[in-house]
Amino acid sequence: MKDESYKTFKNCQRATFLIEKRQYSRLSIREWFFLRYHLSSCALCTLFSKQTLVINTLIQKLVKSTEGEPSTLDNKSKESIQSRINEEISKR
Amino acid sequence: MEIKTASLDPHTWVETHGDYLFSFARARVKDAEYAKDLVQETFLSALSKVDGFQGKSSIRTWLTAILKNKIIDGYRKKSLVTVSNDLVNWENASTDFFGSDGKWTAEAKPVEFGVEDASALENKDIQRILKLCFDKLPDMWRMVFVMKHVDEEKSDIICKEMKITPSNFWVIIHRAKLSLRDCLQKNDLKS
Repeated sequence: MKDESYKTFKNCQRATFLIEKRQYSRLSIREWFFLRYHLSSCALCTLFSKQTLVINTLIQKLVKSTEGEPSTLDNKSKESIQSRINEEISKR
Repeated sequence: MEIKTASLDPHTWVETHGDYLFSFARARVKDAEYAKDLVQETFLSALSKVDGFQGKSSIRTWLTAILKNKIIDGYRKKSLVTVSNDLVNWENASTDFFGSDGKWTAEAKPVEFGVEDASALENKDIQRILKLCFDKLPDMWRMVFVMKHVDEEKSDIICKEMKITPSNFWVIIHRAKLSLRDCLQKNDLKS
């Protein structure tokens, strides 16, 4: 990563890094120029740049649906936690 | 103790908020038992602070914030050492995806497999595989990933809370995405 190849316009490792970074952060002019030039000639990274956005949405959906699953905490655990709370209340 | 409102009554906390908090924790930590422990700790910690609850947010929001801090604390304790090790290993393992010239390797290069557009969101197989792949990420990466892509936290706040440097943060975001995408592609093409 630190060697000379990282600086050449052909470097897909650097390009994918910048594709991730630009979603949340402004790229420097040098980075922006690198990425634009790279994507104009690299079909693989162009494909990656499409896929990465869809994967973000898929993950959001996955996490939110996990959060929304009903009754994932079993009754036994619930009782045990509640009785632990009650025990703590009675000490006060 | 004085109980201000019905929703604040700790006797009903587990019934009212237990499932929600457990699901929240499960989306962020892999181990279900550990998630249960975190939920219990959250309630006990909330109980000791309940007199200070200002009612500025809903009780659920307040409990969720406490839980989130517990999850982050847990990661920090576990991963102060492993974060840097993870990253070092990943730097070395980057040949999994890229050759020494920085180009995609033949095994890792992206191909179209159905996540190029929004139709992927309706694809149940991809969602099932994604869950498997997501569970393979190191816990620390998973948390950073969720904080950024789902909770949409600011990067500098994530760095502060997780005690990582900005450059490690971007490396984690990059690596996590590369490995998720790779895992999805490999599993999808197999099935």
